[in-house]
Amino acid sequence: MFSFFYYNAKIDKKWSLLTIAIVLLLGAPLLTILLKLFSGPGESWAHIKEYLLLDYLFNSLFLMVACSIFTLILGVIPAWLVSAYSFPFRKLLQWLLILPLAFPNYLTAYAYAGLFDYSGIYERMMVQIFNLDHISHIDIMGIWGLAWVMSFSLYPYVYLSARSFFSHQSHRQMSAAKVLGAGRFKAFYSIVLPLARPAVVGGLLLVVMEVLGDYGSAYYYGVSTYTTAIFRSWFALEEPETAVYLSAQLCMFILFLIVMERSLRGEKKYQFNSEGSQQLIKKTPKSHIQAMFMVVTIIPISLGFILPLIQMIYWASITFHEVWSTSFLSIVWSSFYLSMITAFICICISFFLIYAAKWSRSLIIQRLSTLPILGYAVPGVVIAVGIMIPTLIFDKWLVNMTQYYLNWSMGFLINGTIIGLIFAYSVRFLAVAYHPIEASIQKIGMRFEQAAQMLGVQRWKRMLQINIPLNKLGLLSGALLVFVDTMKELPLTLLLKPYGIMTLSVKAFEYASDERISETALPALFIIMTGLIPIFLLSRMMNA
Amino acid sequence: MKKYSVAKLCLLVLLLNSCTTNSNKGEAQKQQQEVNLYTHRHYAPDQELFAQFEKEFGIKVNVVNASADELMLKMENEGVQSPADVLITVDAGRLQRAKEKDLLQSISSEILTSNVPDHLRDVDGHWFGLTKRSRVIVYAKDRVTKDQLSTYEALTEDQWLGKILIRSSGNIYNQSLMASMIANLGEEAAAQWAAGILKNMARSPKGSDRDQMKAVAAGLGDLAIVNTYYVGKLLTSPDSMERAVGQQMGIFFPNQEGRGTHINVSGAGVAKYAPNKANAIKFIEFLSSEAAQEIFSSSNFEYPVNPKVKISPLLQSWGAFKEDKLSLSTLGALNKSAVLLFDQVGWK
Repeated sequence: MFSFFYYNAKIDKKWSLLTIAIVLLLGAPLLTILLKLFSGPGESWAHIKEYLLLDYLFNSLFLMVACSIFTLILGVIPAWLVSAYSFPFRKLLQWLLILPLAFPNYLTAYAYAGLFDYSGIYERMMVQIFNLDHISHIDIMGIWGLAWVMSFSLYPYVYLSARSFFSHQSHRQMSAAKVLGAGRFKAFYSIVLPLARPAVVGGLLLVVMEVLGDYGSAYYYGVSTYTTAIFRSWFALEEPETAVYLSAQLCMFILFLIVMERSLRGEKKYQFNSEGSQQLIKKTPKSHIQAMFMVVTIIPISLGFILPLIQMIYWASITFHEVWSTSFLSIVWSSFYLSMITAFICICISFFLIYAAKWSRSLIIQRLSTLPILGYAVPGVVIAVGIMIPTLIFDKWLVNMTQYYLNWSMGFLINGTIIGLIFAYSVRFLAVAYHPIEASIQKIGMRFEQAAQMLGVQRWKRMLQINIPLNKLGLLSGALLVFVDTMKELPLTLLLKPYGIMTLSVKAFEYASDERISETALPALFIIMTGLIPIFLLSRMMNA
Repeated sequence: MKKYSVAKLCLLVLLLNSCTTNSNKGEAQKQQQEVNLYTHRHYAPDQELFAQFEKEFGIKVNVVNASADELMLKMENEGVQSPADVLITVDAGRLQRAKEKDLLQSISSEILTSNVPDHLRDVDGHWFGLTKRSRVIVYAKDRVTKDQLSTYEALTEDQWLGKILIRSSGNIYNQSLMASMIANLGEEAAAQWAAGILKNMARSPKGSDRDQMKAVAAGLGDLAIVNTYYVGKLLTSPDSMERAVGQQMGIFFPNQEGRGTHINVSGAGVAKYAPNKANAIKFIEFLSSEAAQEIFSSSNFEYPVNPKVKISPLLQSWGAFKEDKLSLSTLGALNKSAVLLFDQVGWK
């Protein structure tokens, strides 16, 4: 369809080269890991295959399937209710539903463990009020408990993508269905839901990546997954080769999922006319149904956010005097600016890659530009090592060169500095910015672009002056998601953070690994609170 | 026009980069006396101790906190250029592993050899234990009496069927205990022991040492195998319910008739490429000194390694005990065998 338009091979080449450079830079850590696939696993591989692998596979697949089902239910139903119906507190609930995003899932897991602990609130209630002596004990620390905890902390990924589709894109279909005499439910079920599939599956993919990459919760709950296996073979069996081999396998599996998602989406690009972006008209149901809808939307909020929050507030109240100090504020600040910079870099790179791919005629460039999102699939600790190996070579070379030629002894430029840390964050979280931006660009479509091109506007200018303002919302939601994820990130930060910098997640981890779970509450609350600010801003903007 | 936009973007990126690099170079170039500490320990009183060291010797202590495995990985990757001077871990197994990976160097210090008993330090002077912890049996005082208990081995008897709580085999303290079993009894007997414990478990292993004691208090089982200091932590918890759990626990030091109770240390070694070697030695010597040992060990309800230092009243109340004098280097050497055996018997 572009053949009608002016095509400049020279410009295209520049864009392609820049794309390749970015992809190589971001891909270096992953490439390092994947290359290690060829050197094969270590000698413990036979042992792992015989005694452990089946368990790892089963648990990971179980968690993946269970969390997908749960997050679909928890994400799609509220998304539809808040987009299509009007009921009391709808606007408030609509943004409250995102809040679990601010809660790192390992902290939700700790909070739930505390709630259902033998000395937890639930048990106390049962023993003291109902006089049930531990018969009613709920053992949350198992694979079902883990699926529960992860689903309630991850459903917002599905919710966000589904809601954005429902409220902005389903207006025409609903009107058409109404004219043809279908009820709201039928129209939703048979028209809107199938159309929402690409958006929902995109959100689901993020959930699955989080589930497969999780270490903190699974380890604490005693569930052996592929990721815990990576840690185990690395540290307990002392075989980095085996660990890297396992991560390479995991990486391949995620790649397979991504390819599946792409082919599911297929050629169907659900692009609609500008009328499509009109808000869906909300129906006001009878009052008892309104009450029911309210309850349904409140459930995920309470179990994914309010309940663990109460536990954290309780813990914080009993440990506040021990944990609080002036240095605590500097920890908050460093977490905050690290996340800001990462978010900015991630949206810039994602936007560039998507935009460049959209205009590229080369299928290779188009495919290549989606590769960096694989970073999200790889557990943080593996990325950290994937970054250490190549950058150390560079750093050591740089140190020697400056020493030799300039007689100036400098420290490492990347390793153990903020640059290394942010580079690692960007590799890890690019996908988080990528998906909303991609969805947004796809939604906007090519029409403005084509018009501007016919008027002779150059590509850079079109990108900066037309596409960035048009995709403002997509860029902001991308930035928001990266920001919150960076605040929460743990294993990678542990390995790469420089001297003198402490982040909230590391602080929380230190307490938890010390079995001082209740002391994790204060840093946890700060992670949650700082995560809330951008969520709040974004929801204001969405409503405006 | 196009070039202008590109330039703007590049400028922005450059600006961003230079901001971040400057702050780092500043730190790297400081010429002050310092010692760089890679540590797995992160207890608040430790910080006070470091501040005291800074004041006394005028040497600044830079701390990098992470798990020992990650710190070792970092040191391995940094190689000759590693800024690490001292590595502190919370178990001997990892110190031994660091030695085997050639991350530490041998040092000779009369102060350290006199302050730290033989079996608590490396033969070649690569690492030195600083605090001791023992892995003991705790029991529900209302259901179990002391004379029902004797050794770790006796826990495999049928009377404890469905009564024992212990955490997962991924935990280093369990791995070290298993390594000591292998060293003392041989692989076959150790595997049988692990299978016996597995058979008697009240539930599949999960959670922390504290969680095991809570489960005992709730009646899920009667015994738990935990490190002593976790009992101390429960007893001083800000949570009243946790304190109650601690009070219900009795502490039993097993194998007193035989080889003694299994112990482990948290300890330190000087990094192979330590840029401030002299400061590093001073620092470890300081931590082994009588004045520091009291704070350093009590910060985590541990036992001091320096025999001249008196133990805290709480620890005294648990009584003196005979410790397994097995050289702690052995634990590190047998760690991998322990992990493999755990997997084979199916202890998760």
